[in-house]
Amino acid sequence: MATISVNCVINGKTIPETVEDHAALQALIEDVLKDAKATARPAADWTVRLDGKPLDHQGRLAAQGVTAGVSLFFSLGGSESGAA
Amino acid sequence: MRPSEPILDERVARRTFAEAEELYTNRAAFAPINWVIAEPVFPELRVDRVDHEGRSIVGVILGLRNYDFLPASVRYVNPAGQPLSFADLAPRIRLYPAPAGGLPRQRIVEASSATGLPFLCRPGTFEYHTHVQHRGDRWDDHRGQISLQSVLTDAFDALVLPEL
Repeated sequence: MATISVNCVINGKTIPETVEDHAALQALIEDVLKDAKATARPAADWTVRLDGKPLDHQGRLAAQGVTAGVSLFFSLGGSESGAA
Repeated sequence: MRPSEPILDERVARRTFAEAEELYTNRAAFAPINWVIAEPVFPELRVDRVDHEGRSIVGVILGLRNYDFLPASVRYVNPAGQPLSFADLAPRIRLYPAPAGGLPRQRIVEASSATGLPFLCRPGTFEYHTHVQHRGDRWDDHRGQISLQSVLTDAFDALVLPEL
């Protein structure tokens, strides 16, 4: 268990966050949305990617490869469905 | 209506073009995902997904003449900036599982009635919100929420590209 700093890239801006690496991604998402003033949509609507791969909101950060200094990329919309 | 048709007062459009300029200012943040963001020139922003040698695999140009009164128009281009046809894109188009079983779906559709080019069928794009099938999903309900970063992410995710 460790405290790590990650870069969260959302809506074109980078927001550095300090998190516990055993925390679930969901908690980080909620913090980032508040800090980015992007709270119009719930956390569940956001996809967070590391190295281009979507992460599980309920999974723990360290277990999903989130380590100190990585960049996480936020986008609205699911990563799974096809053409709407 | 074509996406480049001027509807929004250009002075207003140039102000909202700032979102594209901010992406460019923060372009180093996107290096880990191999995005190369070119310096935007009103009314367009070009972003290329490059390989490990910095060569463009595919480019996306966002047309922002009327942004964000209207959503961004998305077109795919080759390294020379020429529009890619559906046939050009087809080998790379990602298939997504259908929500309730059934045939896999794709996010790039063959031809937009507005542009004649293959289009990204996703909320946040001009081609989606002006499509007759999606007129009930108004851009007004997404403005200020779906950012250009999200649109670009969708555009590249709609293709199967080499791993980072």
